[in-house]
Amino acid sequence: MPAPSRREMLAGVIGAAALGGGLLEVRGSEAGRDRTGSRVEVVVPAAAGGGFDTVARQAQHALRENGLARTVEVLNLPGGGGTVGLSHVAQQAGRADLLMVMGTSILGGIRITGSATTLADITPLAKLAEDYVVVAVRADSPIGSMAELARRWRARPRETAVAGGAVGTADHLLAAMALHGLGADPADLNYIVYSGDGEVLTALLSHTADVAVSSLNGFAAQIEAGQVRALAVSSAERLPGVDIPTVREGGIDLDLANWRGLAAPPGLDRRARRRLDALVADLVETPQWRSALQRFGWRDALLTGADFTDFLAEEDRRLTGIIEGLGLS
Amino acid sequence: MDALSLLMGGFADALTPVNLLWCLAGVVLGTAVGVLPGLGSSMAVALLLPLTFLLEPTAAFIMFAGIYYGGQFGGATTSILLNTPGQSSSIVTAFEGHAMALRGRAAQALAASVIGSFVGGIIATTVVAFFAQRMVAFALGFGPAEYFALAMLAFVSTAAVVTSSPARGIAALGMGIALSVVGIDDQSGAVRMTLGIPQLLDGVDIVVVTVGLLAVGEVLHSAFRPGGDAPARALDSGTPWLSRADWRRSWGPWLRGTALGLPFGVVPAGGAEIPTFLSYGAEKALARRRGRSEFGRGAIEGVAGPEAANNATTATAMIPLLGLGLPTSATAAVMLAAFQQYGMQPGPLLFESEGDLVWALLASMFVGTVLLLVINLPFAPLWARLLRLPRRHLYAGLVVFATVGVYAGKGSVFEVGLLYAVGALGLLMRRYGIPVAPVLIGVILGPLAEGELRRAMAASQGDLAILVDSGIAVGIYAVILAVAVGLVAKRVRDRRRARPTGRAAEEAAPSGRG
Repeated sequence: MPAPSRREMLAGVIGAAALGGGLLEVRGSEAGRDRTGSRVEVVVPAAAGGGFDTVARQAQHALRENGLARTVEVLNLPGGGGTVGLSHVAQQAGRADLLMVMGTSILGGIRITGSATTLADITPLAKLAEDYVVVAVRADSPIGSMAELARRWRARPRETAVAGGAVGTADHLLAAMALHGLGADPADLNYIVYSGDGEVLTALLSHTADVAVSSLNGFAAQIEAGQVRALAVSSAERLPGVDIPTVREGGIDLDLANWRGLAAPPGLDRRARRRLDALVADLVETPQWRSALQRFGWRDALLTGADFTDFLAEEDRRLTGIIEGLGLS
Repeated sequence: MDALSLLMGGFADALTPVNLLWCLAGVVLGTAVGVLPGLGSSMAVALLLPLTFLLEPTAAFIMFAGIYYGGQFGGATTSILLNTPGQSSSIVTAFEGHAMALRGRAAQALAASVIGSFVGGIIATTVVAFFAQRMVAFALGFGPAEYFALAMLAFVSTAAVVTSSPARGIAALGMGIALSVVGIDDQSGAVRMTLGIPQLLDGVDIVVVTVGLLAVGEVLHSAFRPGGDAPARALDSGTPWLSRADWRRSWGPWLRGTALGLPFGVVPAGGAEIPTFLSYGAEKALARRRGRSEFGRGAIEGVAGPEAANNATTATAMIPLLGLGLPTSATAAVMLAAFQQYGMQPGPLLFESEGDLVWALLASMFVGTVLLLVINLPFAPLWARLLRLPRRHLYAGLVVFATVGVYAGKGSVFEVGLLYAVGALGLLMRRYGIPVAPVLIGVILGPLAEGELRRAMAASQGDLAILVDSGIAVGIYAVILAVAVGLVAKRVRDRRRARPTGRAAEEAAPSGRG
């Protein structure tokens, strides 16, 4: 039946093309329409919906609203603890319209995967904000304070099941560093990996884990509702408006920020570097970015130029030691 | 009755023309996204997140939720017509749904799936509205040991797919599990079986395996077969609507599928796939008991049950998202980010602090489910006519669809190459009569079983007793035992009858027979 089927075939093909085209359009509308004007692409080395992704989307909004860039495209390249996105950026040498979100967990990701691409292959620009890790137990837990947890943990590290985010993230590194700080072997850390704050929370509430390490922001609602007791937070000093003691007050000489920052491709000429530095400086001054810091509970922690490079080198040295101690690298 | 009056207030909000429009936009977009393999609803919601800067929260969440459950409606369409699941929760639908389509019953399969999705969605939304708190308590009864038991149950209930040729079935299952361990191991951070290829660090995407084995494998197989370019089968099926017998056979699976799907939205790490496997297994076993099983040749029960199950799961996934701030799926995780965007913190206090929003959202889920039924049901016979295309044109379109879909997911050419490599594997498996369904089961359930077993072992410091330490787990193992005994008994009976002809060969490749 060639005659009727041809018309239908055409309709089918057109329908399929329209549908496919429509969906590509959704992607395309995010992509740069205007190549001549100022256009910025932000690579997120993680899936949509996570912490890195949020940083990128907030920056995208702030840049657009203030005319700092005409189009801002966010590109999610998840995988390999952030190293897939990292190596993508490392290959775009000299591009002055490309930014990448980075942070604590990418340092861990590089070491754990043994990635050939490292931070030396990109241009770190700035640290923008810090989030902190909270150490928490169930409200009905016998553990009442960080000091009590420390005593129990030091004596029998393997008997304390700790739930937290992926291997190499700030959650995991904090738990390992805390155990190390207590004088125990970090390799004895009994760490159960979950993806995301939500799963960590269920593991805690369903009595699977005794202790949870997760982002303060992700646990805030449950702490407020009294389902979860926060023992300590990983900041160096007490956070304003947060009634939780620091890990250091609990007797472990340790602080760890889960920081988020921006980087650019390698091989930038001086003009391109100046332009990107100026863009970052403008970004952090926008009211949209200010409001994002406040809404997501991030602490303003701007660090640029040589200060940031020094900070990165120090942080890398500190975390690499811990990761090797865990037998991960 | 307090909840009822709050819900009525929610309907007042949800039925304003503007919100109705956003709801419609959400469900239409969700259906479209569900149809295209590779592009999931999580990606669609993530792309639309910037809308949160423009819209008021109620409108935004009504639309996002619409995309989320609309995707489950759309996922079945390509499963049935093209044997290419648009979402991983529609894989099971392809087994019987595509077989129905090949027998000229595509319109009925689509109708059964749409109505099943509707039934599952409406019942589950009712449960969300009235029993959210109790469901949260239920979810917290599940630890790694219980999840592991569930994964085992899903393995056993789908074992029916492989029983006709156990050696080949187990080989295929092993392939699936082998594929699933590629990448960075979550629990230890160890890199496994990546052959030094960085793109494999994140593992092989389920979408790539599904689309590669089912769609590309089928296309290649048909191209290599003599007479593979035969014209389309005559697919006129008389009435495009469900017959009275179809209704009679479907309502049971719809309700059972819904019941199986309800709890799974609430428990994280369950996902929408497991209840579809369980529903498929249950319907197959029930049909066999009644002695007139059409399974393997296009049984409407095998479409109706799983589709009701996956939609019920999607609706109840709202319970942990709103009530605990727990996202139980990728899409829910993106929606959680949207809540934070508005400065709201989903959790125990959300129902009080943002009551208006929550109830409007729940009401919109009723409205959206009705809209989806109205939009999708008339399209069933239209979609079904797609199969009247000459096969070579249809398959050309299918390859384009599959390639675009996989490329759209991550924008990676490597993934497209992988898709064709998996497709070639699918071709070889068809050539040598190895069923492909167990590979998919292995890819989905393998990591879940492994991860939960290791979590359980970590929590108990290696004491195996934790696996049977709770009533829930023991209950699940009892069901597994019953199912296993049933399977063995059936095999023994079959062997006594001693006529191992036709039927076994037919069941060897329940999916992808073209």
